Amino acid sequence: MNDKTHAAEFLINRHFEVEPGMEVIYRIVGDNEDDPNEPIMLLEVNADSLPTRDFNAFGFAPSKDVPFRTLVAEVTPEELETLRRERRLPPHWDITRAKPYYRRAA
Amino acid sequence: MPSRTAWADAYIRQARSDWSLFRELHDRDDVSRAHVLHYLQMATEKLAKAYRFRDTGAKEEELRSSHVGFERFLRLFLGSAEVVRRYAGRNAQYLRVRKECCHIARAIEQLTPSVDAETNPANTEHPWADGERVVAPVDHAFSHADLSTLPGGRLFLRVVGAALDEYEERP
Repeated sequence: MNDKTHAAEFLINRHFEVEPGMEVIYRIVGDNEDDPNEPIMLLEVNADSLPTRDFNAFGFAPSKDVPFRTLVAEVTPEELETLRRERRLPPHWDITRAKPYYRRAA
Repeated sequence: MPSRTAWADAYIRQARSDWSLFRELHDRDDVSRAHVLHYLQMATEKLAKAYRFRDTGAKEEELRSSHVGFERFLRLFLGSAEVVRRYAGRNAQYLRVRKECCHIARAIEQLTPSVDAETNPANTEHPWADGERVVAPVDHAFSHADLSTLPGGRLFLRVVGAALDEYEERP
């Protein structure tokens, strides 16, 4: 496992730990994934989230635990369904090329 | 004398500008967390003032001079009919989200130097004493406000973004 994958999975596990409504997290894998400047991109499907008008991704600076720039977009399951049906997911957030992570059974 | 609507519209424009800068700085590792969070604190304070100027009868002088009110605003925003509608049938989730967001809102409000300075001296603008040493905000990690890992942290950003986006300026 490379450093970026390790960091991404650290963050993914943390988000599953603290967000009880988190159903699935898609890690979007870009064309230049080996480039350390390419951000970690996570599309998080959280049933507890607030549905909003627009798709919004927030950038997070590298930190001690996650030493890569990270982009996180959170949606509800219904929003994701709508975004996919209406083809409104931004091109860089194509989840057909993403690796899905599901909550581990307790 | 300017109308309350004029004040409200000016506050929402300023809040959106602060928010835009916050977002620009937030994923940069060459900028101190103090500066990043300072813009978040300013955006949220002004966001609350815009809504309160528009929707309440709160005194103008108090609104313009006070640094507190964001947590109270967020509680009202999350309790609005529109937001409650979006959580229809999800009461347990709604209560948890409201609790987490208001907890973060309070932490962000406390980043103002004049708010709870005795019990929470850490702020994003002025140095404070920690025992025998003096801490500069630029040297402080503000890990209690790390929105990348806090419960509800990403949702909090989403809620603030929605409150900014969905504010309708009146003609």
